[in-house]
Amino acid sequence: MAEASYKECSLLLECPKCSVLNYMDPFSFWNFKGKTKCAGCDAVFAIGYSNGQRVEGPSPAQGAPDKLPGYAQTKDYKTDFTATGKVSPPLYARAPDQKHGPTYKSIRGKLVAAGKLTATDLIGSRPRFIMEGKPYKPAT
Amino acid sequence: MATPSFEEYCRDTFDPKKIFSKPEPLKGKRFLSCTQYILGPSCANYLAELGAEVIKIELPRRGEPMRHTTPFNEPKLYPLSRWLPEMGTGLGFFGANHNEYFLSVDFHKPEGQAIVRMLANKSDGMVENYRAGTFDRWGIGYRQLSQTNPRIIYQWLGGFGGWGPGRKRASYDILGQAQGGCFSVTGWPADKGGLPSKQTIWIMDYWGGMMGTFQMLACMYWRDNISGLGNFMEYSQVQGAQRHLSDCIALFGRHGLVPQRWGNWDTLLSVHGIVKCGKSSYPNSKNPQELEQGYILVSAYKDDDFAKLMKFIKKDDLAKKFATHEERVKAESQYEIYAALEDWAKDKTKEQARELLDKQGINNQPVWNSKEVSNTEHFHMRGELEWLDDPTFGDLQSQGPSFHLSESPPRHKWAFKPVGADNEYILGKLCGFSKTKMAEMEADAVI
Amino acid sequence: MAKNYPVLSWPAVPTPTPDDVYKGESDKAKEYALWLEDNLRQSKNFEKPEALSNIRVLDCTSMMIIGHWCSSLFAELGAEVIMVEPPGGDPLRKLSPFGRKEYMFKDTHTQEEVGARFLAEARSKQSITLDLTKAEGREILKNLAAHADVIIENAPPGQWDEWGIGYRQLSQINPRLVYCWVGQLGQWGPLKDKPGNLDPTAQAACGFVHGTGAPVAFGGTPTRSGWWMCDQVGGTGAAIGIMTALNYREEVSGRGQFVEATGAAGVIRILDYNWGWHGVDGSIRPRYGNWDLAINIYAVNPCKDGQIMVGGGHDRLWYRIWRTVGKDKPDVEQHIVEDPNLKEVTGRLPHYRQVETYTSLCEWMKDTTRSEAETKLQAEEVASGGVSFIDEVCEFPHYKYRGHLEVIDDVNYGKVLIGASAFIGQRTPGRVKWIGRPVAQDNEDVYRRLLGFTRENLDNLKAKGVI
Repeated sequence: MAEASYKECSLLLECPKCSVLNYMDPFSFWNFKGKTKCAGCDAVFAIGYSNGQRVEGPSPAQGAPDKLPGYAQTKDYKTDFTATGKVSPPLYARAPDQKHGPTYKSIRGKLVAAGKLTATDLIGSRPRFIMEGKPYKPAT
Repeated sequence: MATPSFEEYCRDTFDPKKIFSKPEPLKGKRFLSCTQYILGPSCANYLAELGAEVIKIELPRRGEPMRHTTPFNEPKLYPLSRWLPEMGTGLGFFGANHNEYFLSVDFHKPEGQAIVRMLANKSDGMVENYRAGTFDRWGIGYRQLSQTNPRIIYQWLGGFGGWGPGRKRASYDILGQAQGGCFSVTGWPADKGGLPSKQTIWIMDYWGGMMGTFQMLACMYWRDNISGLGNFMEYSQVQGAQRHLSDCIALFGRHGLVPQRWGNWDTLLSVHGIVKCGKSSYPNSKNPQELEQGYILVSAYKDDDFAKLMKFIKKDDLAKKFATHEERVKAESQYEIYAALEDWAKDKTKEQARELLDKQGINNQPVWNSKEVSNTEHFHMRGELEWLDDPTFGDLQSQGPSFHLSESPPRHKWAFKPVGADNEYILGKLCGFSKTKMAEMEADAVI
Repeated sequence: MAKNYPVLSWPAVPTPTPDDVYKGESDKAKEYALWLEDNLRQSKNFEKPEALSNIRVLDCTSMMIIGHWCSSLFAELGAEVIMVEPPGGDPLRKLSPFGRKEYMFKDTHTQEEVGARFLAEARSKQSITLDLTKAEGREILKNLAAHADVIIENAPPGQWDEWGIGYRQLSQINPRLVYCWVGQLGQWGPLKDKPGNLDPTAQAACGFVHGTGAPVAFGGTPTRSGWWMCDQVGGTGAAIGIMTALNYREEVSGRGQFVEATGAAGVIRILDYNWGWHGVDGSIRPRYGNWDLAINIYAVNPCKDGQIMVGGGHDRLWYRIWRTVGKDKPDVEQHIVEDPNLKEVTGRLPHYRQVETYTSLCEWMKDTTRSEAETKLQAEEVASGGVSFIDEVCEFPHYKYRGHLEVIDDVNYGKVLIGASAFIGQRTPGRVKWIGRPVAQDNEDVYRRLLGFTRENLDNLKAKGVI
């Protein structure tokens, strides 16, 4: 199948310089007039949107962008651009370096069954380690 | 002996630690919860808080869809079921399933329907939120169940109801919010480029469930004290939306007025709005969310409070200009007044603002995030937030019941259980099924 | 001379008939819906009994909606509700959007004005006045309490107890009394209410405001609810508590009890996973605007003529949504369905995937009106609905047909369009009897029949400002 074309698109913005696809999210760009920056190549553009329609640009511009795209990827989906300063920051529920992982202790340090288990970990429908009040040890 | 102060009296009367020594108001009552998502489950759940035996019936193995819903796909509690221990239940399920007993039954199958019928004949009520007419088709709707159990109180809940032009439309909370009119009043004014906004929570669902519960309790009152008869009720989320926007509807009907969004201020009272404080309360936090500046509700709508507030922020001219409420509640006035307040707050954290306003005796309330609320002793002391020692999952922070009773209070016993955790208990106790029979039904995926 | 108000021209578009609604459906297909109509249509409401007709409620709350909302639920199901207001009336009566007097409602006989916020929750209730700041007023309240099943108050914490009319005292006079205090944060505890605290105090304190509105990353700020939402949720919680106490009294104890409900507790109860999530790993729930942290696609986004909600977290619905989009914009559909990162349901939830999803969806929606989008999506059995404003809501065929809105031709206030009772039911449905009453209209009736006051008593008390 031929590659999808973004020529007719407004909010899906293919960078004229580097062809990276920038997502001009509706929160930020539905009604917008100012400068933005391609997340792929850092080229600054002047652009205007009205009710989601791109009515101006992208035309080359100078200086700092007013808003960053919400996300960007290469058109083959292989590479995406999410580093700070490339696109708007994501949501954080915790510190960025606090990766989500299986948890067997609550924030109070007590036992909680918030991580995967195996059949041998259960008595009936209940985790053994909770019933016995002992820290969780995965079966080897 | 000295009479305790009112504070002491309340702390004792409503002491969460004493709740389990007090009777349960719905002791001995039983309800079936054939529900999924939030609207139906929450309605039955508020009954479970009150001590009724609520049996939640879900499809075998994987349970209902809300178990597979969790923010960021991350927090889950394990096991999902004894058949699928490596899967967990998402926290979307949390909050609408406390205290319940979990039975897995495939009610698409006739044997499954027979089980539901057997249970319903022993129950005070049924709560269901499947597409209207589905249970009727399966022979377990109100028409059928009331034949053998005329006392049954049957509450159906859904988006649009089972009759009328929209009867086939799906039922989702934010669809209810959108189509019901709720969005039109929350968010920022159109002329400031603002768009309508949804409420954080699945409010049409959870609050809709509360409305359903209230109606069920009133129908129980009528049944048990007056008529001896059961009842059939239908709750529609979009109707809930219109019900609580009744003032907007009245204004439209009489004056053609369409309500404005007014951001964080109030259309009826001034000063009574949330203003931005310029500084973050946690500038060194590693959690980017905590870097955001703070917000605080400032409330000084009475003439003397307003004058005091304006003088405090060194705006005597505004105190004079807007001395009457009539003057300061006007739209233009509010822009001016709140600009002055934000100017005052721009170099303060919300805690600093609070301290200064407290000293002046001006009502205020900082806008707290879920961590700050979790760390607020007031709510834990009152049992409105609590740490459950959940028998299945362990140490869980949970919301508590939404109201207090002095003699027969609601309470949370456990957060929820895995799919089918109570199959043997319920089917043995209420259906008289033997171990062999249950093993057969399990093999046939009936349970 | 009663003033005639202009007749409302509502509905502007006639309500559909059952023939319109069920056109083309076989008898079998529409049988259940017609059975529902037969049992639930509000036109038959007044032929049916009321569940709570032997309950009497004294609503002594003022300046908040929480208590009035609670007593409305009782009134709709048949309870006799008497609003006990300070002389001059509940100050809430005087509030109107931006103070605009022209938006108030006038009593046709006395021309007394009342704002919509109060009037919306004055339904089927009587109004008496009583000055509780005076000792004589409090004695009268004690006498009234002897006749009440339920009293609701929202005075500053401990005020009624100090006045000798708190639960501790009234329960001696009437052990069957169910006494309910309502407020924002509580009548006890380190943060108990200060006098004058109103919604959105509870909204800000419970985490609701922080969690509503566009995310920080997109320049959003915490946003309050545009209505007194904590009052409404807390008031419903109060109603459940009171109803529970009434049932318990009848079935078990023969006694009333002390009930407390707050806006903050009501909404904390329903802030779904905030508390559990924080307890497991310290997460702080972020705002996500009109998108959802736990389901994609499940959001409201802008479109050509407004905003529209589209929902469908399951795989099947995901592809149907893009198929709908693809009929107009095949390239957009192709782009999405070919992204390997979006193949798994779980893969669609991270923030950047949601940005990709909704930006692509908006690419289609920017050229599509709400009505067009709804029609096209519904053809693929995808749930959707435009964000509707009050004027549109009032003309929705479905709501008109089902009586969600009704015009009450009221003796005092003329024709008023309201949100009807949401308690649809077979045997004891909710109903609205009248819109409201001017201040103290029922002093004569209530004080005579409940307390045996004579003409002289009434005149005397009025002269002293007690009523």
